[in-house]
Amino acid sequence: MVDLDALEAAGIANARERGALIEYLDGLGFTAEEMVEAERRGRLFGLAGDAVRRSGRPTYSLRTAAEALGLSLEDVAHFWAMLGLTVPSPDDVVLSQADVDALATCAAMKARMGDDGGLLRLIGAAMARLAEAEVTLLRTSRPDFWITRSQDELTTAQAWRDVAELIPGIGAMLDIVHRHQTTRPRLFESVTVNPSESVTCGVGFADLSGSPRSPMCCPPRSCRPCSMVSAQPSPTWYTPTTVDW
Amino acid sequence: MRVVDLDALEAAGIANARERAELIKYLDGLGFTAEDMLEAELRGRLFGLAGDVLLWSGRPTYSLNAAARAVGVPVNDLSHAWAVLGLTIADADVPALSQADIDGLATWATLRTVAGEEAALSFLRVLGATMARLAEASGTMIRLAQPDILMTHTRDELATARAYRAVAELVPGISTLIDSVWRHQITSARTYFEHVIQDSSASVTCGVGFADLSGFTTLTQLLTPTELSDLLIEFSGTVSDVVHADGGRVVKFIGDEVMWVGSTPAQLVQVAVDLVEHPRAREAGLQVRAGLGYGSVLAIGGDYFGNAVNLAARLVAAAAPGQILASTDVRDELTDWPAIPLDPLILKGFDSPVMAYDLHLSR
Repeated sequence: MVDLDALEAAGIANARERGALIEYLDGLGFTAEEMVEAERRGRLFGLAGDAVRRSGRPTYSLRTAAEALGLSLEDVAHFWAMLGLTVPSPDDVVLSQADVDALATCAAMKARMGDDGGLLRLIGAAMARLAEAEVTLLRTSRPDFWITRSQDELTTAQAWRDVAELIPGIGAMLDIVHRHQTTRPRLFESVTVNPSESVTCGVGFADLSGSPRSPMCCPPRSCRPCSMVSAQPSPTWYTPTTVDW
Repeated sequence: MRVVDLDALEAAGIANARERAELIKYLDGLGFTAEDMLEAELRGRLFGLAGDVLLWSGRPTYSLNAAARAVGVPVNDLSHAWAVLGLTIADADVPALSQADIDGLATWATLRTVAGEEAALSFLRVLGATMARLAEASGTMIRLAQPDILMTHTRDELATARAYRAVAELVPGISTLIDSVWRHQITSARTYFEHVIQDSSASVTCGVGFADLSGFTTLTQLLTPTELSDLLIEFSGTVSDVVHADGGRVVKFIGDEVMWVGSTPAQLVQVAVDLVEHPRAREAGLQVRAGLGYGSVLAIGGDYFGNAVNLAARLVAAAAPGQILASTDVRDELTDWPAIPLDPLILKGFDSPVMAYDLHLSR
């Protein structure tokens, strides 16, 4: 039995009016402390999904992560920024063990490949684009995912939990596709004959001819098939000439 | 210590086993069986075996047909999804997919139930293209940093096997890194969209900016490939830092051009100013120019489409070095920002002359 009065006294506003949400969270096993902490961040309705979305329970700050890895605080903050992520205050506890392991990989890449951040930026940019694509997919297929749309905390809590449960699976899919894409063209041995940035290949562009205004002539929803119309030539593709792809 | 029977390996199909004894002993020392080595030799990858196993998602135990049964979808659908990811399987009856691959494909099957078949395929298309680009870029960086992974460079199977293994040992860590960044970027994207969505459609209202380096085409003819590479790497790094620091989101780079979005016109212009006035560009004797649009655009697959995008792209092409050209939509949202109205511009693809404002020289 959830003690709504105690939760309200601990800092959860209008706990009685939000009884259904609190019971839902309680049913998923969240403790009073976790609910109070989420309320402090203004994310009580997001707690159920946020817990699945994150890479683990936050137990490190940037400072303690740096200490655990034997790195300077500046290095760790720099890695985080190069990944396109907002650098938190040094003592905010926002990093999980998985995040710290990820930072260890950043350091290993720098030590073993001399990477000055180019690959980290690429990973950050790639994940940012995929995250946008994913959020767009979810918000159009499950609009109740947004509190501004549902205007109901419990509805959004349940919708966000449902879609957030897909995130670990999609993360695993990224891994397998990355591995297959890495091995598919034999990037390490056959793409080129020497270790330089240069390769010899053909380059093509194609686009849809027509006024760039045309996509706006119809309602956006019906515009999807025309969405390739872009001011920028897209896509780009490459055709081999002298190299074995 | 085991004794490797080189004669038996040669009889089984490993060519010149005695001459390749050091490589075979190295693989044996890592625990690979004779069967593993023979299989690798059949693929022409004996030298790659030690690294390949770390790159694979797992031992291939499912054929395409078996995978379709395991995921519970028609084999043609599964084959199509795999192709949409940019991947191919030549023979539907030969084991080519691991348990991890099946788990990934099961996620796709769930996704299409939640979002619909076409939407799920569109997402796979973006995912495949994004990971292909990442794999290609990381491959380039790795071969530059560790040239010994190229057989054509070492001409020594053992040296390449060791170098390749050393690089491949980073892959599990990179998998963790990708997952961690992916999860944090989901939060970032969600927060961004909370500021720009209008409704549950794919349309958002935001600022769109393009910037490029003036005279880049000429530069590409003057610089060596290494100089050009260094310039582009520094440009993309600097631009990313500026856009992120000002709260924007980088959409893509196309050569020397960057496209970014911002949730407010003020944020959009701040990025443009910081790019155009960036001290590194000046130090390098380069000038940046920018074009800005604002309004309702389609946000699909991590990219943006619509009139504000087209206009911003045309404006950057029309801008002089150091100029920031903004559309009327941007200007109307920033009434306090000094702006110099230009003569209406004739822009490709726009039926009538377009009003534009200089937001940089006016400051």
